[in-house]
Amino acid sequence: MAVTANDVLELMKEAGIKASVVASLKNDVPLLSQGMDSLDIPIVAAAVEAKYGVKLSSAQSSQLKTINDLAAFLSK
Amino acid sequence: MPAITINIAQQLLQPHIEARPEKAALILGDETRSYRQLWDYSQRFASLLQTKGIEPGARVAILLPDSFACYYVFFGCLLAGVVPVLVNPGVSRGDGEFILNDSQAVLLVTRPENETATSVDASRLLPIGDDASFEAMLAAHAASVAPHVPHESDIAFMLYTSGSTGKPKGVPHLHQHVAFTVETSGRQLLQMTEHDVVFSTSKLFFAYGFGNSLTMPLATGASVVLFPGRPGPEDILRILERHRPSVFFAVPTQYNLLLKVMEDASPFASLRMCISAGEGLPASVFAEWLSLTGLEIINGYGMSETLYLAIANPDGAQMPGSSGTLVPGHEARIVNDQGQSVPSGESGRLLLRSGSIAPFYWNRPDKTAETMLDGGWLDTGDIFIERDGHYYHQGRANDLFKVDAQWVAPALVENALRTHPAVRECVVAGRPVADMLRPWAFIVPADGIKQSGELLGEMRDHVSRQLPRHMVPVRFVFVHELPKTSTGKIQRFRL
Repeated sequence: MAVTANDVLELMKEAGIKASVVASLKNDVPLLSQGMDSLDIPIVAAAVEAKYGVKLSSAQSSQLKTINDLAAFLSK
Repeated sequence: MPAITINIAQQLLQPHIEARPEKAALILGDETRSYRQLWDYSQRFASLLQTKGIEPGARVAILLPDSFACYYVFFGCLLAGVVPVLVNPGVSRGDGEFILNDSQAVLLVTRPENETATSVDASRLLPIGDDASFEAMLAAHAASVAPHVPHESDIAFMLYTSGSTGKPKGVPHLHQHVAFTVETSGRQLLQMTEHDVVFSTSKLFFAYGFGNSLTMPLATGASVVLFPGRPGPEDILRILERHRPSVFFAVPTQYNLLLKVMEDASPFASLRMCISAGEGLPASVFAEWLSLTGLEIINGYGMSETLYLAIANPDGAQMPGSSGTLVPGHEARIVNDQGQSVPSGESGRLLLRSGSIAPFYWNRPDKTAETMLDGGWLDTGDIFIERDGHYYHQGRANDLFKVDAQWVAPALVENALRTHPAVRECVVAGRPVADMLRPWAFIVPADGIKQSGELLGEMRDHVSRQLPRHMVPVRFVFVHELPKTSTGKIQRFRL
């Protein structure tokens, strides 16, 4: 299944991250370096787990730093 | 006549006045304060309290960010025999007012801009500016007070725990409790020495942060790196690179966030020890940290009522997934609902006994009777299993859970959500997200309401206007109805 960066951005909006925040995100920069915080990161992780039926380990979640990382992981 | 004991301000600071007076006790940014300065300004604050006519035994509330001033006020109170009450400077105004009234604080020491400062009249308020201006103010007071000589049963200081669904509870501790934790955790478990430089992401008003940044390092003549606010992962990396600490204390969420932003292990090169407490440390975080830094995280368990760690994995003897073994000087029992001990391998409530258990809750005889049991046992309210001397945390006996090392009271989140017009019914519970417990909200929507990203964002904003951020649900699950018993009680376990 090919999951694109746009799919991930769309998922973030569905999870309730503000559209204006999502629009400003760069795909290749760690989310934590773009103003997302300790609440936003688990919101995204929870949305990924729910939508794609995957169970992320905390180790995986640590490695998935950027939108591109998430898209590549979900495309596997 | 009750026996006297040694004042912990003297016990922690005075030996250094001869041994290492000019050594940096405290480090904040580019500034340092020596042990001599710390002792000097603490004495001056004690003089200030005496000048104001504040009597031994009275309470003084401290709502300050971690700063030099916070130490001067804390130790100054102890030297004057006054009981310092350390309170989160970010406490909500309602809880701040409650704590001031409950503790009957005769004085509030805080920054002028603090919300709670507006709750007291000028005669009970000591607004202080930054460290330099506070020191200038203290310079007008004498630096020679005779330290108050406490009795063994005198309260030394008080912390407030936000543990339950109700109001915060005052947790008093005695002078000798500090000596006990310093010996058992500081010297034996952490093996702290004067050569250590410590940095804790947890703050002084939190029992874990209080031990990390105050009692453990100062007892041994180590240096403490301070950060006034709540540090994010990038702040932590900057501090590690700049101050090169040898001992690092954090909570699991922060270890996890650090793993996300770290490029390599170089910021951690100076560390000899990493400690985690406040909530369960996932085995995966332990393993990943070890592979990246070569350091085992020492996982521990303690609470405000025990003052510091009661269970921990000693360095080099880690059992990932376990909270550890008993810290020296502690005894434990695991009991069933009838209070009878259960066999090894069976779960039950953990009772603890040690030389640092709070004797009672301030003004709360009901909670004291439930928690501080006969024979000096503390009912922790936590469910544990013990196997081969290792203790495994199973959760809270009631529905509370921890996120970011801070309690989430589902009832408070539910109350907040229920005031949103889109919510008809809801229940909040801790569920794992990427292996870490987080608040989830199960919502029965009001008629005609459809789930959308915009609505979820709005509901989170609605909660975060009323409650701390760690209580905001990370996931919303919309359902047609909630599972209930025949008497209408929600069955959380079926969600």
